[in-house]
Amino acid sequence: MHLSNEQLTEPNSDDLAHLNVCNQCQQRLEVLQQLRTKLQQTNIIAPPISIDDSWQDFLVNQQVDQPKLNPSYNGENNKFWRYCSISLAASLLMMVSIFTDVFIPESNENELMVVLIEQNQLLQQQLAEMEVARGDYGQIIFLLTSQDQKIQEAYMERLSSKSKAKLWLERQEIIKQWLAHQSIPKLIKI
Amino acid sequence: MNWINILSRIDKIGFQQVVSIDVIQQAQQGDSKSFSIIYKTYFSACYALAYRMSGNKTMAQDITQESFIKVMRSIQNYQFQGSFAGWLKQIAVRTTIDQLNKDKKVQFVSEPEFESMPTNDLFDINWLEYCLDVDCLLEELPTTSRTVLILHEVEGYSHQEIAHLYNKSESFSKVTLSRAYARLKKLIMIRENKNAS
Repeated sequence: MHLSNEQLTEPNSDDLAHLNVCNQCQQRLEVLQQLRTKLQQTNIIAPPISIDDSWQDFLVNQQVDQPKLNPSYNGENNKFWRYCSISLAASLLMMVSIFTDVFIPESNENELMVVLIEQNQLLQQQLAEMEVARGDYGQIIFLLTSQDQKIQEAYMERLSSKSKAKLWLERQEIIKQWLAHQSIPKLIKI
Repeated sequence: MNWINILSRIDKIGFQQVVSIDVIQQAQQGDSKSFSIIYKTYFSACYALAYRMSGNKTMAQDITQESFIKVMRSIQNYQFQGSFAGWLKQIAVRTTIDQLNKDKKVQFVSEPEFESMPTNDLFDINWLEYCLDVDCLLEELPTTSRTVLILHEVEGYSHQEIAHLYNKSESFSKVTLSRAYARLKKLIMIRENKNAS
């Protein structure tokens, strides 16, 4: 009795004993090995995006996937809290970095950074308190998410304080411009 | 170091690549630079594995991201027993199967189908010898067949390990593998007949 196809794919000790004495099964096993070799030589599958882009996506995904802070987390609030969690993560990262920077002489620029970050947080608070249609948050979420990614990269790549401050300034400008833009329609209405 | 050693180092791709113990230890302590090294080393391998198993590029991307999130969260649990790449690959495989199950794209072979297995010999000749695009052929297999075939024949999983992954019996893995081969052979025959006519 020859070995079945299933037995050939993973022969046990009894099957191996049979293989030692059966030429026909040995030939079938040889063909199976050739098929396996062919299967293992399949083309290298390249990812559709670059590793660096993917790493950035991962950083954002990883932060978005953090435990939710708000129990009423749902649908429309989703995007807003998602943006908040990313910003929070960026701020935490920054705070850790400042703490370490205190021990590294680069101190004058750090004071500027602290001011910039505080201003960013104040503006962000204003943003959160604004009563606007929730759909309007889409654009600011997108802009801030992109900017926060840049800031995170800057900290991870240990760029100079000047470069980091520039990015925080840009972030501040994004919020300021958005807040200014949001107030225009209200004035026209009045 | 002789040239064979040099070549063997250069040739390492996918999950054969090795990251240093220092990098793993630093990643375990939360060092994001070290984790980015791990990510960038195994990203392509994870993606390729997820794509081969799922046959879907978008799903493979999502699976890769999810796998690394799991790796990041559980890297402290890695106890340096067995290779790190093997540990990471297990997470990627588990994540892929979970995702496929979630999407209900996996069609398990039912018991009556087990009985109606083809009895003809699958391994009489090397029918895959002249196939130029094996990946394209694999895409035509049902998801479970392709996944089991890739896991057993390419990734080196045993029937027992596959059975454990699917929470099924070993015979499920054995029969699914045979059916995958049978289907591949049939597809090749159909292609050859078309070309001949």
